[in-house]
Order: sequence, then structure tokens, then C-alpha cells
Amino acid sequence: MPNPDQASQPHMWVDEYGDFLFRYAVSRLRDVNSAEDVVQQTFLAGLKHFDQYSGKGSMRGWLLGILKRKIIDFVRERRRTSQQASDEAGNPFDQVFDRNGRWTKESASTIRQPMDSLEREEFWPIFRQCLEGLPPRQADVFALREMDDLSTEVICKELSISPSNLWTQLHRARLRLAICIKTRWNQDHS
Amino acid sequence: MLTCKDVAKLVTESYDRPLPWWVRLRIAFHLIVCRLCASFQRDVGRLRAGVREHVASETAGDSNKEIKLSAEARLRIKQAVESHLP
Repeated sequence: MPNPDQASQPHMWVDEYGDFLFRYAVSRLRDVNSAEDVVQQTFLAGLKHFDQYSGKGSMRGWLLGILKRKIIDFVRERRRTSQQASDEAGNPFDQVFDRNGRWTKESASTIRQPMDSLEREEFWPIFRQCLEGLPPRQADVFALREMDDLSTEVICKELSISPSNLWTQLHRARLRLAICIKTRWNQDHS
Repeated sequence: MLTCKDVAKLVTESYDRPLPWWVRLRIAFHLIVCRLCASFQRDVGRLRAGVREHVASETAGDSNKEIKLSAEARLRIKQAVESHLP
């Protein structure tokens, strides 16, 4: 293990922080190639702005700050270049609620089941699969909001979308995720 | 009358914006009589808590350690960094 001073030198960055940053990026972007890209961009931006690192916080924290910024930029770009139609395909309401706005028989039986002892180790693999099953745009806004804890104001500004559009997408994401997680959890425990 | 569909939307929206008190009151009444929506509300709370708990441990650097850069990607990124070293 190199000493902290050595680890903060750029030629050591990839070995020291590469896996950590990659892990962080891949769970949010859900794609290995994209995650590798943003990690590389992060290191290069870190090199370029190395003189701005005050040395007060940890090097890892500083690089993570850059990575978060790169993830937002990546999501914006991916959104701009992807098909708008994916949002419509992501409307889950037909299957979840009936015409009168009541839970359908099927969704009700999922929601009704208990889910009391969901441990962290169990939760994450199920969650990750369910997140990957969402329409990409919904998964992206969910990741920015719930995983990176960005405010709705910041997300709307960064992605140039209206608050009501964002609320709707977040709602669809949470509704789908809640039902997906419960369904899978009960499959695993039956 | 709020439908279950309305309540489900408001339950998740309450995490993104402050709801007026009279809307919260109507949700509360609905949740008293509707066990399905109450159960959904708990599920959304669990989802949120589960994600937060995981993110905290991920940021601390002690989860999913098996996820790593591939050897090729590591080499490629190292070369990119080295070519930009001053």
C-alpha cells in the first residue's frame, strides 16, 4: 500500500481510484463502456485541473466530485441523442391501475405481499436488475435523484426538463421499481 | 375522491416537492382505509432507504468490491492518463 502522498500523484490514480470510480459510474449508468468513458474523462479533467486541488479533502473525494459532474454531462448527452419514444414505452399505468384508477388484480396481489426482512445484501442485486429493466430515461433520472441525491431543481436545469415532467418520470420509475422488487423478492422467497 | 392511482402518484411526489396540507390530509384519509396504497407507501419508503443505505456504503468504498475495471480498460485509461501527464 503506497503512502497517501504517493497515491495522490496522477500516475497512481488509475490503480488507486480506478475501480472505485468505475463501480460508482457503472451502477448509475448501467453500461460498462459508458462507465469506462466517464472514468477516463474524470482522470483527464483531474489532470487538467490538478492545480485546483487544495489538498484539504481526500483525493478520492475530489475525483468523485469530478466524476459526478461527468455523469450528469453524460446523461444529458445520452438523453439528447436517444429516441423520445422510449418514454411512452415506459408508461406502466395500463397494467398497474384499471380504468377507474384502482390497483388491478395482478398489481394488488403483488403489492399485498409482505416484504419485511429485506437485507441490504439481498436488496442490491434485485434493485440493480429492476433498474436495468426500466426505460433508460426513467432509470437515469432515478439515479440522479435517488442515488446522487440531486435536487429536482438541479436535475430540471441540467436536463432542460420541466418539474412536472420530472415528477412524472420519477413517479413511474418508483412505481415500477417498487413492484419489480417486490415481485422478484417474492419469487426468491416462495 | 382521490383514486389509488392519484394517491400512488402523490405518495411518490411527496419525496420531490412539498404537497399542500389539504392534499396531505386527503392522502392520509385514503391511506387509513386503503391497505394496498398504505402497503405501496411502505414499499416506496423501503426502496428509498435501501438505495440510500447502499449508496452510503458504496461511497465509503466497501461494497461490490468484485466490480472492477477490466484489464484492457485499465491499461487504456492508464495510457490516456500518461499521455496527458505534464
